Amino acid sequence: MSRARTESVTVFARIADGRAAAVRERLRAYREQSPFAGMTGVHFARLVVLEHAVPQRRPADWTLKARLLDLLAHGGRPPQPDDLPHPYLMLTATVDGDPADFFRRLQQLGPDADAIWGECTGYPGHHRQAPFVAFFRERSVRADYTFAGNPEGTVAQITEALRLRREVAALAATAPEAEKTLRGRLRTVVDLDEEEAARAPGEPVAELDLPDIQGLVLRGFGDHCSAAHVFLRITSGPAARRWLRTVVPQVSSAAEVGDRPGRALHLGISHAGLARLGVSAADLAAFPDEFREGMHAREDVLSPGRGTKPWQEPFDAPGAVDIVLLLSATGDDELSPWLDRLLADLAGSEGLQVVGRQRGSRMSDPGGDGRTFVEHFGFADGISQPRVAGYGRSIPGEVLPPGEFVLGMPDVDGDVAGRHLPPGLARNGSYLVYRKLEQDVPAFRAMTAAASAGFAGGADDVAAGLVGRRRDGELLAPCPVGAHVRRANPRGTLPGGSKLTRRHLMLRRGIPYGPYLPPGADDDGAERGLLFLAVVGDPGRQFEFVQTEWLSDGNVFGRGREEDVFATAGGAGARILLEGEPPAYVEVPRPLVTCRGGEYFLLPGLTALRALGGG
Amino acid sequence: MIETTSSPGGESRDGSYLSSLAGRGTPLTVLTPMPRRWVPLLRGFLFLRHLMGAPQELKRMSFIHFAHWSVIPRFPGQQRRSRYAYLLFRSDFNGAWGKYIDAFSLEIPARMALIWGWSYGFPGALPPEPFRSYIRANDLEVDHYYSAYPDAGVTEVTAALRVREAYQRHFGSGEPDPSHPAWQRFVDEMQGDLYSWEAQS
Repeated sequence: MSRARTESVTVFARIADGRAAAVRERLRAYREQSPFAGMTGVHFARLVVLEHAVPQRRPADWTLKARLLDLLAHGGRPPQPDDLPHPYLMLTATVDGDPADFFRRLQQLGPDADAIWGECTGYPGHHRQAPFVAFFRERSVRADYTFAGNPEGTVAQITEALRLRREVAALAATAPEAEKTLRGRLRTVVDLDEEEAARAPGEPVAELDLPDIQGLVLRGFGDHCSAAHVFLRITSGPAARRWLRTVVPQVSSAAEVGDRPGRALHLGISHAGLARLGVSAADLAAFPDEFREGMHAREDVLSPGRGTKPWQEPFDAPGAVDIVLLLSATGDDELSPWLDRLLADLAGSEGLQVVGRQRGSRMSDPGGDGRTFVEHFGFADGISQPRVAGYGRSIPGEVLPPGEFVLGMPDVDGDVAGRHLPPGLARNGSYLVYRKLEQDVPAFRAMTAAASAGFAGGADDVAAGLVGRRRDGELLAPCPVGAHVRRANPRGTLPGGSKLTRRHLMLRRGIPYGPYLPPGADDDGAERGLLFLAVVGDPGRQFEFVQTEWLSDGNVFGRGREEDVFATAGGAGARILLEGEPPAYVEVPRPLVTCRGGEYFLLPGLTALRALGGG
Repeated sequence: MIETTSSPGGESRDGSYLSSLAGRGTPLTVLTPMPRRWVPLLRGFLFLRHLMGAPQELKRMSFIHFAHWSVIPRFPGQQRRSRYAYLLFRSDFNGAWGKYIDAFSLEIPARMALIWGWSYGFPGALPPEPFRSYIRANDLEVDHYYSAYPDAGVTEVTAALRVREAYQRHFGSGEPDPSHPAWQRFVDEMQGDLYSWEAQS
């Protein structure tokens, strides 16, 4: 009887001189079919051709604590050149039972073992067990410490349990219910925001340079019901810079927004746009991968299974939009003449081409008080935003340091946001995540209706269970595990608590587009959705993390591959578990939300904008 | 030092906050040089950790299958010893790479300093960004990777073992059968573990 105990095995086998590349080439042949797949008791295994040690550098800038540690550990001296004595083939694995037993089982690889270790000095071939096992044993290194997060179990027990769980779950999801039990109405809590108002009130707050920060970063402009976004491509750098000089004085700063202006203009520039405006290659290279590559290049991972296939003009090619102008006003009467004037200026600039235009407008809740705005699926919108420390009224919500949204300021990690960026370009700037998200309202209503049997509140209960809120914003209690609002911000519900989850929050500045489809109305075929705008200080840690780790996957919520109802492409077998008595499985046969394009923009500070315009 | 040919050590590695789509398990293999005089101390500390058992903070995180640390004063069969000893770390984890390293930095910064503080180039565990860059620059390219259950993360493995235990309690070794009188009771009891997403994306 073997105990359910795992062991770490590591073997350094010296590769004969000059043969490292050949070993690597041989390993490439096993890319599709791993030789370890035929062995029992191997949880994980990897092979690394190790030619040299990675050269070490002393950190360029480090904390006082790290410097003191360096003084203690190394006397403040830099590392001397050192390297491995020979190239090695390193095998490292986590296995069931004794390492010696693993080496004996390794003999089962037969000719594959000869192919893998055949270039290593002293390798005896797989035919005779004693020298074969001795070869590996003599080259082993033990683990001084092992952390096992995996529950105890042999590979056989685990794979059998995984198979059983999937089979049983699929049966539970698809078996016709024996008797129709009516589920109780889902409970809600009236409290719109249950979080404590402020954390660490004694924390000193960095001063915000309001006249230099674009207004949108700090204000949501809830009273601006009308929006127009203009997408530009730069055809001539010098002419575009001339135009930029004329438009910068019209860009709204955060210092003005307190007066509730009737209209506002904000301006974002993509990485491609900065390049076309003449920003130096060295400065451009300092930006993070997400921004440099642009959203188009990253969409395959952000929208698994769909990528940029559904994308439309003007976002249908990488780097196609250089500048976005975001106009907003209290109404169309205010917006339209102003938009026309800006478009005329653009036409006269001779350095910019309008490649796309997009209108947006807020929709008030038809059954509400006229002050609550809804999105197309009918839910109250814009509730529960994080708050920027040192700015605005003390309302409930997670309070975050300004660097989460403003570059050059202290962030949630005790670091400075965008520390590596050229200050003249980045200071008081923010990143704007722009995504046009088309919503299929008839599909949403059909999906909730199809799953409504057994729910006391019918389709509304299904919708509330999937979203985690009722239409008026009331939170469900407890919030269902896979619910959209919990996925978008799990707050304290994940291991590590809000200390970790608060590092991934965004300021949402979106606005709907397209006509509202009243409940009960037939599919009118109109395009509608949400212009998703989010302001962040780190597009990777904030936006991309949420999109991939929390929305497109269920693992951290204990839901395996289950995806968010609005992020998924849906299809056969796409079903979301709604726990209850009895549990329900909501099928998502087709996508409810489809991204039609997007980009990462920099919302530069006003000083930086003037500098970009040149003088 | 000699330029490496297997070097991952560029300035940045794509997708630090993007989850891998290929499989649930992601390998991390880090080899860093440290002065020999600290070998006994680091070994002592790791042995102490071994005696104390798994840290609860990391256990709760539930996205690390395994992590192993070895202090290597001399590589197997090495005749002439190198200038430094080496610390080898290898791990299999689920999800975004950046999240994994950040969790170490933020949850157990002092222990990270006690483990990697003796290695050259260690920039401190906090703030997370420099530590992330350090680990990224030292992460070795893996030429072959195998996982026995590539589609399952730690939470799914845990759920599956729970389901298996409950299943045996209710049905023994029988085949799954929704018409069994105990079926609905079993589903109600285990429902949190019975998610069933079968779409291919």
